Amino acid sequence: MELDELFFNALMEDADLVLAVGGRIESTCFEVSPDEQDNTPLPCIIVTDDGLSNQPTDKDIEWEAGEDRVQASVEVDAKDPKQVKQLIRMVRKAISNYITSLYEKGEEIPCLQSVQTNGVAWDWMKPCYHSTITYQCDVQNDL
Amino acid sequence: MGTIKGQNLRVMVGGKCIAMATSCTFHVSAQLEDSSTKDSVGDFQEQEVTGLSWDAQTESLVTLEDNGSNGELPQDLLSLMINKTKVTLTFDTTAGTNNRVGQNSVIKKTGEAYITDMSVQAANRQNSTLSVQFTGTGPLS
Repeated sequence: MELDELFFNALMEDADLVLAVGGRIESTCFEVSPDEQDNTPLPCIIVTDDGLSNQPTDKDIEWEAGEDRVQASVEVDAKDPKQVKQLIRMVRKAISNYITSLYEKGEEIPCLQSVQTNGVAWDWMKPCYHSTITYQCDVQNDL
Repeated sequence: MGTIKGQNLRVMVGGKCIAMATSCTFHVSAQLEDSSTKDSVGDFQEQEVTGLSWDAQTESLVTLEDNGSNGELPQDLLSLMINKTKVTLTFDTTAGTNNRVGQNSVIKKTGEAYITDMSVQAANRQNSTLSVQFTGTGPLS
């Protein structure tokens, strides 16, 4: 499963989070148009795929390595900064709980390398307050 | 001018590459003895080669399975070291399947060696790495 799909599932499984955003959890992997993104009522959450990088790690590899470094983000839009921060915290918890449950079931999980947010900012185009949390993970690619 | 990329120069033990190797060093050195005399010209010393020695070092990622690629695994190398086994070491260019097939190129050198040092480094969230030192005994051919 792709990292952004995994995060989308994690967020959708958290009933408190779904309730807090009125069910408005979208993902670019399900073809949300920019127009839809802009016109979604607040608060809302959008999961995005931020691409990958792959480097051959050893001499046995003739082409790509068996592991990708993948990035996916969760953007939170809300009317006030406090709500953005509360939702970011809920997003972190939902993803953490979901990954932990996968691990406990013995399923393969991504190897987390870093998590970062860019702080709450004002988007005068929408307008809304927003913040994005970005996860960078190593994932087996089964090529 | 074509150069040889690092992935195409490998150290092999008994004809098998080190599994998941990332780097290798092949080193030959000469021991010198100062043969300067009062007849030597100027300030420069004169030297005489009294012996030659060689060694090799490999760096690789730690893996427990060869995944069918038939490479030397860390546990095999450790057994060779503990059993003080003399190994046939080859340094050669490679190509082909999984870059493991020696080409018998003009650069190829073979000799016997002991494994004299092994260390594993395991940093958090990074691939574990293995470093192995081989010290040559006897001639290179």
